[in-house]
Amino acid sequence: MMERIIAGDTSEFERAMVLGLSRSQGVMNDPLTCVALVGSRLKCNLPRLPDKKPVPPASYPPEAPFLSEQARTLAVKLLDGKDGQATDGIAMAVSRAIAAAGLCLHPFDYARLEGFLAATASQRTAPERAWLEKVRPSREPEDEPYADGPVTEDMLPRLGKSAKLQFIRELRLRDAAHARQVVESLWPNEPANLRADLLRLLQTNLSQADRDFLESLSGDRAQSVRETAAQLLARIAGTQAFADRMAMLKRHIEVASKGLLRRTKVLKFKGTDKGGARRDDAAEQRQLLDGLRIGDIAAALGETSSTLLAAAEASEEAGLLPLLLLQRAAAEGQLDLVERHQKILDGLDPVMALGFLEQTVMELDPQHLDRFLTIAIRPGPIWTSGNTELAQRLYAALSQPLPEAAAALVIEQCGKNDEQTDKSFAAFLDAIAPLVPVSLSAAFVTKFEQQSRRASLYHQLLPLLTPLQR
Amino acid sequence: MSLSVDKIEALAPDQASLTAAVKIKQSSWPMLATSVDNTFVWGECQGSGSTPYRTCLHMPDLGYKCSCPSRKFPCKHALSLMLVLAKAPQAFTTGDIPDWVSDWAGRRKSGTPKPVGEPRSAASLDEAVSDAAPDVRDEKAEARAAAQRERLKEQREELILKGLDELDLWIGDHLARGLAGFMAQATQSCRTLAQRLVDAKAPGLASAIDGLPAHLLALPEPLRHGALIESLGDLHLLAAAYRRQQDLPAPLRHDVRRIAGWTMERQALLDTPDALRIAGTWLVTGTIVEIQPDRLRRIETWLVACGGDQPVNAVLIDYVPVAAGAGGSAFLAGEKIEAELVFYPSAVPLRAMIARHGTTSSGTVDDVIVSETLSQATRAYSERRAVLPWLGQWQMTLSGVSCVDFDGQGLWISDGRDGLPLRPASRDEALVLSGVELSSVTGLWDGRYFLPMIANTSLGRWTRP
Repeated sequence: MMERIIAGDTSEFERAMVLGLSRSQGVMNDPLTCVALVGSRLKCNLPRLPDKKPVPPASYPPEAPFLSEQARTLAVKLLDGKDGQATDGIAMAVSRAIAAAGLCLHPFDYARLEGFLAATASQRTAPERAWLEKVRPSREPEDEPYADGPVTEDMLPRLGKSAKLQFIRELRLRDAAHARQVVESLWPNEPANLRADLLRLLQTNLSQADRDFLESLSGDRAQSVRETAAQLLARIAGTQAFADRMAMLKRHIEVASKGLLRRTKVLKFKGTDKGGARRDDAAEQRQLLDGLRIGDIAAALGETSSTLLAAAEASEEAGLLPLLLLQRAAAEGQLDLVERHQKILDGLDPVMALGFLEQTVMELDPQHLDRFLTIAIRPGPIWTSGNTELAQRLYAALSQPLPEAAAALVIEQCGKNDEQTDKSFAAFLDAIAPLVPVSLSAAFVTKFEQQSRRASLYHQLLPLLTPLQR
Repeated sequence: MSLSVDKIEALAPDQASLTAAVKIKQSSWPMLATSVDNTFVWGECQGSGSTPYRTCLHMPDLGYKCSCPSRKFPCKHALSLMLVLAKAPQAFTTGDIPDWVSDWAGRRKSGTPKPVGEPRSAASLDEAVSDAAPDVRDEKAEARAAAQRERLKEQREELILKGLDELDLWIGDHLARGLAGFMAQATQSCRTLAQRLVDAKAPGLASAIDGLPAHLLALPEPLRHGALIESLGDLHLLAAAYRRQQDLPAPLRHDVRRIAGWTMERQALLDTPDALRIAGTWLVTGTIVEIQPDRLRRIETWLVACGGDQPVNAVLIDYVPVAAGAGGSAFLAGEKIEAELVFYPSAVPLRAMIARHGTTSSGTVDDVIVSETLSQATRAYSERRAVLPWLGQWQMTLSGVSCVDFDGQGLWISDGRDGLPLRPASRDEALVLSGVELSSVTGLWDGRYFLPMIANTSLGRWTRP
């Protein structure tokens, strides 16, 4: 080969010339020269195409509803920029907004947004997931099969845990009896942990109709299922467990009178002493009222729902009790009552305010959600607390922005407190941003553009994702 | 050069700098001005101190200077000045270039005479490190300095030749022992030789040796021995060529010296009368940023000429200290620039710098780039490697090809008969190309792998993330 390179192939001669070789010179005995010539020649050999058949390519039709060029640029900045994040509340909100608008990511952005695609795989379109499957073939075991398009009852047995839970959760709100029947049909083939989770979903719109099914579970082989069933039975009037709870309620909560004429009713809570150590009142109160209907509680205490809440509102030393009672009323959709006694919500500590919002949102029928939030989002220290985690949890519970009036109040109230750094306030705004709907994007950007670039970028992107559902 | 917010973001070393720049209000700039020809932009930013920071920009290459003590490059003031310019150009008045701007510009271009008679400030670090000419010319001193430079050059030549002997000895030792065991001791062995080559004043070779183990380990195992033979061959070829450089054609001699570690100053290149200069419209095909073992960030900006009847490629290479942050190229993939490039002398001219800069605009898929078939391009590559055996990456614009996924054997750019395998690390980003029609694809071929940079497709323009 050496001789051929040096003497024969003129295109190679210049390489030999570098070494000062002549055509007549033998080089085979000089290993360095051999390596130099062979080595520098190797890269000119074209590799052979593989013999195997190519994989059929994915198809990306040009007419697909891709994000606009401007939206693409902003989305990449938000989710993959210098400090872009693919998994925070803003990223989740972007994902939901894209899905709600019926848009899809441009295939040329997949690689830039790989982390985002992975984090929001269940909301992504089939081509997006197919790409992800190719670049991340070894998925984690907790990943689940996804459904393309809307989930139907027939598909349910084949889907993963979260898809099943989501379907039952929504069905339970619309048609409680049917949801229970679907749970019963899934029951024999599901593992204990999923059975317990499915059962917990029945606490929404729980009624006498569920009693037989719950009682049939007293012999279930899983302890978690037996315990969950017993807890639910204790919320249904007419059961022994329910009667026991009501008796306990009467022992611990007293409706007393105060004022000169003793005309104002107030609530008093009598906690239990266990072995000399007083239990945490808040935890005890929460456990006492968990899942009960406001009407049942009021009846047990000899009051109506309205007089009970009026007493709660007037109570100053009842701890968490007034808030928990208001939450029970809200969870049942008795929003007139909540509105009448909304004073209970004033001046709440941020953690308590968020707990109230978060818990109620999770139990509330979605049709009441807007009105509830409009009533319950009130001025208070929560909006200047700078508590990023609280704001994130509120969005996680809602999975959508606030109604316009509530969001306007948040924008107005939201501000930096004296102890906050610019960086932590920016993080707080990032957590608040997903709560603001597109109709207020401009107002949000105007007020906070200087404070958080990421949050304002999100609200510049949002109007571009049209038609956007709130 | 036009400035867009995207470009400013690309230049920013990190998010914090950008955020800080956004927070500087326009009212913090009591003075903002541009030169008549818009080459320079400057301003004074009122910080927390009594004296405002002076910030200026050189628009053709987005060079910047600020009197603040920040270690970020560009600092928040330079970024803020760019942002104000991008968003509110009407805020700038036109005026004469002040002395502090022209001083800085003069120092950027070594050899530009400074105004005579101005006292040098001993307290100015910039002045102390600048290589500007002294205020008063002293011919004797200059002659002494020239003789000293010549002596140092001769000493360096001797040291390099000794270093090359060591290199050959090292290669010979490894060949005698057999290459099968090379990888096991590669890191230590290469590091030791690289240190000796640094001592021998051949930093280019030292860097190549130091990076050899990483280069080999980045390849699949079956390819490593072939790559090792190539690399050792290239190194010996270079050592042999360096010793015989007087017999080589001038352009090739420049290549050999450049690879060994001799550098050419920017101004020296601009002053070279017979340097290849090409003016026209260039499409930015992409940038590649790599961190070198010497803690410098090497930023390559690849360009291809728009129009013409044969493909013309160029690469601009900048080095930035890693400590200065993650700033990128001044250009974005897909942009078009009007510029005159001057090429470093080479048997295969590729590395260039901007001699004169015009406008920058967003490119479109309709930009005409001369493309070749796969066989034309690979033949041209072989011809260039025959002329310059150390040719690394070469840019190709291919038409009549498609991206094919051979499961398990990676992606290939193929014309149906032949093909170029794509760099494995670029598989994820290029996978979508297998699902679209390619009008043309421009990328870098290093003899082993193809790295797609930009492509015109049925879904629009694709650029490498």
